[in-house]
Amino acid sequence: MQISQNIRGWIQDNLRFMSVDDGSCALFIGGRIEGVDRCSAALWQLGVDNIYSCLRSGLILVHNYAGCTDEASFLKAIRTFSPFRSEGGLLWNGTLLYGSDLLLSLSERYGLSDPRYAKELNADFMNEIERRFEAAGVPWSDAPLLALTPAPGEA
Amino acid sequence: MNPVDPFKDYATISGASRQDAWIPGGSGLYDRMASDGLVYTFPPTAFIGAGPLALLGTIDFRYYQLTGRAPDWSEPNPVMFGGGLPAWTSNSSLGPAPERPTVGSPRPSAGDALPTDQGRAGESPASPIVPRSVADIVAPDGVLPGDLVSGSPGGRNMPASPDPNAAALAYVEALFQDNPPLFVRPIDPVSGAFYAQLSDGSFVTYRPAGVSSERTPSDVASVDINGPEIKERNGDKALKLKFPRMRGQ
Repeated sequence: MQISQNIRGWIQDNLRFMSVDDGSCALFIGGRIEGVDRCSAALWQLGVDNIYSCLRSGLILVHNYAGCTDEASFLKAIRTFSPFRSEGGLLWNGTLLYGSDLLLSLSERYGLSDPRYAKELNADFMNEIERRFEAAGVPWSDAPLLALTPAPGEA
Repeated sequence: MNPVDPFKDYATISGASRQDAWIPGGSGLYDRMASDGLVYTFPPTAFIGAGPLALLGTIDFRYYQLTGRAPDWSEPNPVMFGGGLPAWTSNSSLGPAPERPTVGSPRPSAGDALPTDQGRAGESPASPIVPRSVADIVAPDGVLPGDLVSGSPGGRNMPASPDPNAAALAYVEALFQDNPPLFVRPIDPVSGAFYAQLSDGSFVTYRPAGVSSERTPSDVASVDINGPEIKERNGDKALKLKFPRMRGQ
């Protein structure tokens, strides 16, 4: 299925950021998505799925883990600890992500690296991203890719 | 001094200075209660540096050095250090610390609201500091510091300086003066990177030059500020301040 337009724009923004800079996991629970409240479980879920799909498809890499030791424990932790609570502070703010060379090449190919980039949706770029998600076994859908498993009090 | 005090060698740290601005009454002692329920008391000689950031960071780093594990302080809130309370030194060999009088609020628990809704943890008559929101400190009147980094939705370049780390730390210390952190914890005790949570629920993350990924030049330190209010003023993105080295330095 095709990712909805508002989510596409948000993913594109996240990936563009990752292609020019590095950032903490918290980047993926930022941005404005129509119909999704700030500091909500829905945004947390989207952030988890976006991180997971981008990691699996080789678009982003982890520079350093914080509060966990490897990708498996990291993926478990981001489902467990809310980015909006103290317990998740180290995980979401200390773990540093950055764009892979693959992402940089895609960003250049589709014109996202242009300094004059505006926030318009780049359909070709996002179609490519969706194809890569599918090829990596993490196709986007309405169902969560990695469903949240909140620790007590983290929901 | 207790001979098995995990902090017994603090006296060997030199160059300390008092941080009485953080201690109502100027007792000169700092208490922190660890997650094991024990209270640890630190004299000024335990600390290096002159600012509250150095003080808090040093406590956590010393704890890590001496115990081999990251501290998990539960209370008190730093703004309550020494707030009219008797000072004591305690560790496991002394048995549990005596029950402490009211010392701020406990760490967030299951039923708490999200950080954005949390009241100020240290509010009490003994607390001398009324923190401003991080957004008001960093971006008064909505004006963000530094210059926009091309292509980086959340990033802004701060003025270049001969010492990016010192410039970034000075910025964080100034921020903490107006909004004392609830805690400061190392991300990586070797690199010096740390993060802090402030009383309005915001997180501040400091990374010295050379510890970020290849997407950040190795001579750039960074300070990330992540919280609902600052995000509102920065296009819904966490704010990333970059502190570059002055060319030719």
